Amino acid sequence: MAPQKMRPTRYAHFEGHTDICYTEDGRYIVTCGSDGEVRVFEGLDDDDFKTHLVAECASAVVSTGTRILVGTDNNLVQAITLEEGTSDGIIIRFTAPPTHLAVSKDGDCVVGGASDMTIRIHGPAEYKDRVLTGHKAPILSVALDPKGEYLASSSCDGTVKIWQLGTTSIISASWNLLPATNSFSASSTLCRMAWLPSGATVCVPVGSAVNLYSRDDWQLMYQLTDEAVTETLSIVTASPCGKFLAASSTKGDIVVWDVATRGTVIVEKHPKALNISGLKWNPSGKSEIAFVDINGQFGTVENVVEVDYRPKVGKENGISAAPFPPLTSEDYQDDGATNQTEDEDEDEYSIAKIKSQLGFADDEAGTFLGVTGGLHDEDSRSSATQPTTTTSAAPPPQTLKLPEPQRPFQPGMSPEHLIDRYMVWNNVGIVRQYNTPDSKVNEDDGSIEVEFHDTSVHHALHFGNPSLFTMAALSSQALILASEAREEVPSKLSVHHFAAWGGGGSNKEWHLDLTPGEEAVSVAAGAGFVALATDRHTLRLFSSAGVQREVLCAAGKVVCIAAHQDLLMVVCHSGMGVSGEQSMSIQVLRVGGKGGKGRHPLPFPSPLPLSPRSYLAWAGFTDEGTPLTIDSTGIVRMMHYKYGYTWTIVLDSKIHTRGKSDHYFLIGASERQSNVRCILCKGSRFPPVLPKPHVSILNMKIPVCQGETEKGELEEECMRSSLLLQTLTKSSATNQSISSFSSAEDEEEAKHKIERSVKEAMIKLFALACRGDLDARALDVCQLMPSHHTVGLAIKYAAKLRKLHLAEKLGEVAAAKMKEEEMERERELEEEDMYRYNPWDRQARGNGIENEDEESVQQEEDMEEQLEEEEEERERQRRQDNPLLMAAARKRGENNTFTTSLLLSPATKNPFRRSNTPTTNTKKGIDVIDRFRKSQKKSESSPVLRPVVRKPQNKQQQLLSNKCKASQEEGTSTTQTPPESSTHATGKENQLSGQSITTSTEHNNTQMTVEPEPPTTTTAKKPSALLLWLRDHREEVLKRYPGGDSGEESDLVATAAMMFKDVDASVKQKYKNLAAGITPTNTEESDKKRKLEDEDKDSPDHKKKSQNIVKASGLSKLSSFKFNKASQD
Amino acid sequence: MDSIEIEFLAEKAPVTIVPNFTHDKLYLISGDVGPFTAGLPVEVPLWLGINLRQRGKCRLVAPEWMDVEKLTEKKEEEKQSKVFTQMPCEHYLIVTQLLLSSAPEDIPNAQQIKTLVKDIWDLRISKLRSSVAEFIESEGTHATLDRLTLLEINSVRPFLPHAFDQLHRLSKSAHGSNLSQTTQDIQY
Repeated sequence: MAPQKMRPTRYAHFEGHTDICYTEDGRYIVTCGSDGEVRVFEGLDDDDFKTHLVAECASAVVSTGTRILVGTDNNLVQAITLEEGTSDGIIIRFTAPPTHLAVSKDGDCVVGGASDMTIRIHGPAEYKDRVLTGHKAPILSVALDPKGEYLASSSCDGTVKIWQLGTTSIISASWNLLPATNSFSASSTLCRMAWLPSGATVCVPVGSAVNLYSRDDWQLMYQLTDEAVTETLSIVTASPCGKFLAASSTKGDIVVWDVATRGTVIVEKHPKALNISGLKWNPSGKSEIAFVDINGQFGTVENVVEVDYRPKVGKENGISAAPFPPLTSEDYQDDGATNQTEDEDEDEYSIAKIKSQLGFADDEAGTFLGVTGGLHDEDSRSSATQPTTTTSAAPPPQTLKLPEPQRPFQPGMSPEHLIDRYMVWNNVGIVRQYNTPDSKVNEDDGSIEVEFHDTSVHHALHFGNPSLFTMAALSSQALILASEAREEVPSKLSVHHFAAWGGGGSNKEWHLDLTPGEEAVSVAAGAGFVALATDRHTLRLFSSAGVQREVLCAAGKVVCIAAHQDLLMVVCHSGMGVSGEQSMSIQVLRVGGKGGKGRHPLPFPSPLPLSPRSYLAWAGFTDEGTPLTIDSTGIVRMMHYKYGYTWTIVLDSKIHTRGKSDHYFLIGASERQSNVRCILCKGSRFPPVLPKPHVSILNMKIPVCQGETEKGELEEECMRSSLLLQTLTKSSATNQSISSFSSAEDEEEAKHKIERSVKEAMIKLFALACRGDLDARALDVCQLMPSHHTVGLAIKYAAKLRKLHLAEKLGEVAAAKMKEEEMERERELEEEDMYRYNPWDRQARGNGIENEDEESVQQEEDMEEQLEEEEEERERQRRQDNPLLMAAARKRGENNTFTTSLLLSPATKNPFRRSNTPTTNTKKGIDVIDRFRKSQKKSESSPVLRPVVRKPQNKQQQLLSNKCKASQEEGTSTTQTPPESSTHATGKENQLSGQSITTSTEHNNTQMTVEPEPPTTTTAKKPSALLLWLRDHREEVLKRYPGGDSGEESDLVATAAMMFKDVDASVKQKYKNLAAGITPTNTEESDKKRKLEDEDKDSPDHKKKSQNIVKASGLSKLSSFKFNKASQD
Repeated sequence: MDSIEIEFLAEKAPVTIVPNFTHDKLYLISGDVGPFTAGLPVEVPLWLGINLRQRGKCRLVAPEWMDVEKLTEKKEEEKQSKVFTQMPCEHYLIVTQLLLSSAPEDIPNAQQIKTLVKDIWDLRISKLRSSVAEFIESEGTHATLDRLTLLEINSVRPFLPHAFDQLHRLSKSAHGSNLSQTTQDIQY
């Protein structure tokens, strides 16, 4: 239902008192004003209105039949014809200008009040007026009792009187209610009264309230007020159904009350807050109020109340036939007659309200809401094949409150009652149905047109529709058509199987009649199967070529079915929803293939989530095969596998619409591109057939709170990306190839991209929390991070920000994550073993993991860089702020070393300690492993080894390396260098490194293990040469530098390095060869790793040692550099 | 500049098409286009759109401004304004011409749009002419005309400077002959 709205006013007359009325059929609005003209508008937008000049000034207007009666300043009530405006006689003569007119419904009795203090009643039969004199001031208004017995009048003397019409002077009641004035124009109120159409009540605006007096005893029943309106109410008008009262104030408020509940329905404000001098309720079913103000402006308020005036019968007839059937006055009387007691009134109202809130008043929505099933079915299908359905039991008034279960529909269709409609619009193509208005009678007139988006799938089809198909489903393999059952003609299924061959092409189609009494309600086309749901709650599955495969039972009354590849979605009613809501369940099955656990994505009917009081507008799958729905409120939901069979909102399409009555018609969605394909339908729910609408693409946006903030945006991105990641993981896990992606590599690539974006968003979110000093939140973010790698990055970042406590905590998180991942991996491997019989599967998965390794390393590098930049920026700023820090920054190299060593010092209980062990290598080493593993993989099948090896690697690399991208790159670039060239003049090398460090602060920051050596050096091997030498010559070193024993091991290594530098070249070569020899002997690095691992377990001493050595190798460089530098200075 | 050249430039304007084929990205010198997915709108250069349309490979989507309502508004604005108004598209005439000639059935109300665009063009050209005339009559030395589209400028470009040259020459010679006349007078 469209929202009520105040339309902008438009000019009608000169400034001054203006009056307004509707013609009886509600088609025209007639106004008159101080310019003496009468204008006849056909609605507010009518630019071609008629203008009839009647006098110098017109003050009152009323319409009866084809005539308009106008009160003019020449003291007459003149009749003019509606069409031509020619004079049709003078009705009443006063001695002063008339102020207000009223006419009885049959037009027999015209009453006018005038400034001459008299009321004249004109009966056309008598040609003689009766004059009511009794008011002591000009008359303000008159109101005729609908039953024709009484007349209410108000006057400037402040009185309101009820007259008996039959007489001239008997006053039934008189109240002194109004402020007294002496002229019509000076009166603050017009006191335009109204009778309820039943005649039981007369409503009088008094002050800011409306008094309601009961008939005959004229007792004040109650007052209607609204706190929003404090000004004097001047006009009251009753809706033609009698359930609502509208009143307007002198300050332009328009307020509508529900008479039964006495509650305010709406309050509208005149755009310019002008005194409203005329207010009328559209006498036709249209929920519209027209008003004029004292500036001569004329306006309407549309959709004033959310009520369907249509009487019950009309309603049910009207749904499929005509959205807004024109109503006759008899209908109203019927309505009134059937709803005499107030209780029923309320019932009627509530159901109407529910309907309207369900979107029932929308024309097309009727298609979705079957409403009071039996009646509707009978009407629309002209067949009574299923009067036994539960809903068709004649609804007694009590059950009327229950919401109507939604009618079955075909996802992607537009309503059946349209002449030209879409039978389906999906990702594959469009099926249009052209009916002629009487095609139900004349079977040859209708036709069906199939257009494929991709013309390479199939050429367009066009054929007649003698079988009156109403349902269609389209896939790239088949077009499925189904018809409802008609008298004598059973429901029919017809399938065009595009891929069929043989038999001269004539047998591409197959047809099937359902057993009498069974009727198709929805069809779906999947890959290699056809599904048909019937009103007997059965689900029939056929193969594409027509083999009946299964007859399944749906869990309830089927609402719709949809298919994608080998998946079949079934949406059924699962019961009566509470408080106007639909209660549906959804099931997603996999058709065909082998059985097994977890085969069906959603094996049990589980509740389908919908927005409050909405219904399902579309259901289907994304391109990736995740169930997706949109409801009538425009919320797009997608299955969230992570939380069982729950759903998540991926888009609120309403935020993209301009008008409230605009809707998006869903066609499909792609999770990969994170968008939803839909058609914007202006002012309706369904796209028109002509002109051909365009598909628009909306990006998915999870409605997070405060989505516009940076935090919100990042959170949204995190959520969305991880949702996609989950889908991709799932699809690759189920080994299901996704059609849109040709190869497995592509899929992997997409997955990594998404993984990366999740990580990026997480890191940014973490950084945001860190910067805001929200450590606890930062910790939370880390706990949500997908892998320990990312946490590692976060730790680095935290360490940089000197948030050591946080970093420590994060360490725990990372350790926990690592453990988890390890377990996961092991489980996976076990599973892999189980599935070993499927070689393809294994291979694919294996590849995936490997790729992931490399990829993640790559990613981390990039992200590190990113972080680095961020950090750099911060640092610079800080330095500018604080001169002390500048000094600190100069010594940053030391600082960082300190941080690292603190983090890694054996004394600290560090969860990564173990992982530090196999250090020695930087990136290069890892690369070697990765590369090796890839090649090894195929030959060797000891998969258990893999996770154990890999993880500590990365872990350590991240943790340890107080990272510098440059150094890592160098490391990578030098991997292949022969070991002979490893050490050239070390002094030179030191110098070199010193230079580079002095030039760039960044390098200061770097881990010195991998200093910018001449490109020939292999960082991993060089230290080992030194270390080997050191192992042998430890005594000697200690002798020469006795301080080294007590001091740091690092010092020792540093001095050792100095000595090693000086030793004889041949000795050096020997050790170098030795060092180089280690690698070849352990030909496979992984073996070495394993060894280290083993050693690890066996000898904690050794472990400690190796760790120290590693650290030392870094520190030695640093110290040597310092030394060098000092000597230079 | 030739109108052909301007048309060539205009063909670089982006236009949305709905392809009826599926294809990967096209890597063109001017940039990447696509990927094309059947039934989904994609933005391509005008020349490509028209080419695809001619081969029956896509459906053109009228640009946002190519709408009867908007153009009527624009026309009204152009009519009311004394100066040139901003056009919704730099090459509005050419784009309309190309789209309407290649795919009139893809553009709703093609005929009306054609008329409207032509009207706007006429309005602007007459404005341009009258301002040129005014410029010459007022014997101004320089003038600015904002928001003229390329094609409009070039509709007067080859001729106007030439005409000015001629005028200049004429006035110069008139001036010169006047001078010589006076000198002669003095002589006599």
